[in-house]
Amino acid sequence: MQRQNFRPPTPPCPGPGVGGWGSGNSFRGTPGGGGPRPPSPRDGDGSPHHTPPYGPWSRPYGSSHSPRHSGSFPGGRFGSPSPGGYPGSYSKSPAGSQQHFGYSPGQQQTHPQGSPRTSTPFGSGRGREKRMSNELESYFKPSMLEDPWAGLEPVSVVDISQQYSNTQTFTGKKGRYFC
Amino acid sequence: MRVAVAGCCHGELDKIYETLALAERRGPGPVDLLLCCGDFQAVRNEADLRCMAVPPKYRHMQTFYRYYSGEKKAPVLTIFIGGNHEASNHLQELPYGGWVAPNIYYLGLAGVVKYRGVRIGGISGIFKSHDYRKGHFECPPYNSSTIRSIYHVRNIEVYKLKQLKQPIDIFLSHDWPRSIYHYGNKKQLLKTKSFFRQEVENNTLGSPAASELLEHLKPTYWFSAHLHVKFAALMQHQVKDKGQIAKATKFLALDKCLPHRDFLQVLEIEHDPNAPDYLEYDIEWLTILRATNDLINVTGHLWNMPENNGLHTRWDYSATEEAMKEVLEKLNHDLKVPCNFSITAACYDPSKPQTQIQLVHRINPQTTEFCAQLGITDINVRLQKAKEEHHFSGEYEEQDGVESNDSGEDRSENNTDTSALSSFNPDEIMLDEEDEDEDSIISAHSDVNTPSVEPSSDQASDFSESFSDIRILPGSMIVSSDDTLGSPVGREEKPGEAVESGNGEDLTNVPLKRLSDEHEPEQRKKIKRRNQAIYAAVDDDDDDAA
Repeated sequence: MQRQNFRPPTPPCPGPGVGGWGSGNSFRGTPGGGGPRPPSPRDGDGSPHHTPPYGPWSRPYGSSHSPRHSGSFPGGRFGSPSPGGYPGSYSKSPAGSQQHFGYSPGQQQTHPQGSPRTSTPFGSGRGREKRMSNELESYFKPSMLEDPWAGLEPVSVVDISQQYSNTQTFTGKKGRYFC
Repeated sequence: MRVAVAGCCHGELDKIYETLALAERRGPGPVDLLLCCGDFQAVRNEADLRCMAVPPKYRHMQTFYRYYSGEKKAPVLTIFIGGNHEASNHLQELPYGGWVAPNIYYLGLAGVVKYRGVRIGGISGIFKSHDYRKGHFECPPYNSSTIRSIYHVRNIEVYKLKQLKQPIDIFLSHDWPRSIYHYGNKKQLLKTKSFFRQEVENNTLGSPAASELLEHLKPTYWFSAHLHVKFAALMQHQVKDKGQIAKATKFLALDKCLPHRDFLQVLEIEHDPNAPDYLEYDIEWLTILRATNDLINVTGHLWNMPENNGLHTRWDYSATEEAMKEVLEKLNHDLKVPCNFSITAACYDPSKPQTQIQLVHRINPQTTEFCAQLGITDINVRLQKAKEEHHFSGEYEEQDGVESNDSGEDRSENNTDTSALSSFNPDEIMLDEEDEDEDSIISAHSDVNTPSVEPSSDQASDFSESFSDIRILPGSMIVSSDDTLGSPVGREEKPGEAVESGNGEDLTNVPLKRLSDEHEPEQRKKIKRRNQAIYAAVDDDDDDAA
């Protein structure tokens, strides 16, 4: 089953390395046609989504993101995770670094599985958009953005090892080196 | 940086990227990296599809091929490991990792890379004790045995990873490290997946290999998938030296990509703002690869890794400063992973399906380049040489119950991957992963091609001779152990169903179960196979409380 691609194609990243894919590829992303983009405001953010879908991928690979942590690079380590808490902050991104990765529904691609093809002269495009939007919404959950370790306390290996002692060997032969 | 983590992809790249885009809009901003914990299904064409160990009805092209062809491009750097549902022939071309499409990087059988200063490691596949100590003997065309064993974790990968001394930030495994469930909300987990209970209580659920690595590496983050449930845990490791701060690992397992499922998570992970924003090789890992190059084993014979027991001249393959400098010199002090993806296989064309597309054992130019630069051996070249020289042990199927090194080469000549698969109940392919256990039954019946008592799909052909597609079921309904645990994935249906379980102890007094639906469809009692739930829509997962 072919899924509709809601994400507009992105030109090669301006940075080196992985950004250089686009030169040899003729990827064909979202066709130009389509209905109006459904509203998808960033939470609490009134800045306009001005980045065009086919515009440059001004992904902030180190430039325009607000600093997420203080301190310098500690020689390879980033500190122990704070037990029971999530160190990251979901602060709002600066307006300039926002990307609108909206989709352009209404493109002529295979309908999502099970969705009937509508043929009404006026409502079909919008109906299809709404269906696609609803479908995509069904995949997203707000918990995807929440701290999955919130409320968890660290559990010590020592405590668990005392309860369960059969974690070492898989053959059941004592003293056998695992590998 | 913002890192998104995905559970089992099952080829739903479009949906994952679309959901990611929505998450970016709803959340704090763009994501820099997507990590996928397996079942990626990098299927380029019909031949790749046949190398995926799934029942035929789940064998869908999905959307990866569009990224392979260049029609679409991954909007974010994507790094993934292999699971147990993969285009195994494709991944086999990249044992040390490589690009499967622009901006989509496969870590290899095991690997460590760096991105923006963050060390990301991973191990592909799932643990199965009876294949763990074998070499990498499989090659396309696979038979009914090798199509599964190809993704079984091997001791050599664990051994290499255990040579790592420098801290790892993120580690990926498809199946869960054993015991990890004791470090999170176990009650909630068992509420959602009640059929895990016995194995959780017996501490047999999950991979002991992954557990060993978790204990050794103590990464800051460990991400997994496979069991189709979201589960978080916080593990505080033992302090080796007094006065040291105990390290902790944040574990997160995610669900499969379906509506209303927890298959994606966006996290803020510390990075080095001065580090380059392109993917880099990891010098310590490359050094270990070089050091262990002589340990390449392409036979199916069981072997143990070197240890300090008087039998080996060397057992420490950790990276020395001198060796790392040597590797850096070899790479001309440039650790950037080259953007050297190229299309090497025919890409699926929906308007011109190719049902007879040839399955070949390819040497991938990325691997050739990598091996040449590092001075190591391509496993696939070694395999091909071994085949040519007929030194490839395990060519022939053994029937005496001794462990088989079966690559099934002779059989594979007669059984193209399609014909071999079509002769079995499609569900058996899935079941194999779930029903084996770790006790002596496994070691006694480690030959996957002999009629072992485990309800493995490999048994099917032998069983069918004597039982005419009736299979012996173990007595217990509950999957016993660990390495099958992919099992519970399928056990999302009623636990009272006649499903195989894995303790293997009471295998003669159990009701026989029909193997093949194909042969006697009219008489077939409808048995809900466990693994079907992997691909089922959300409303098929009765047990999901979420």
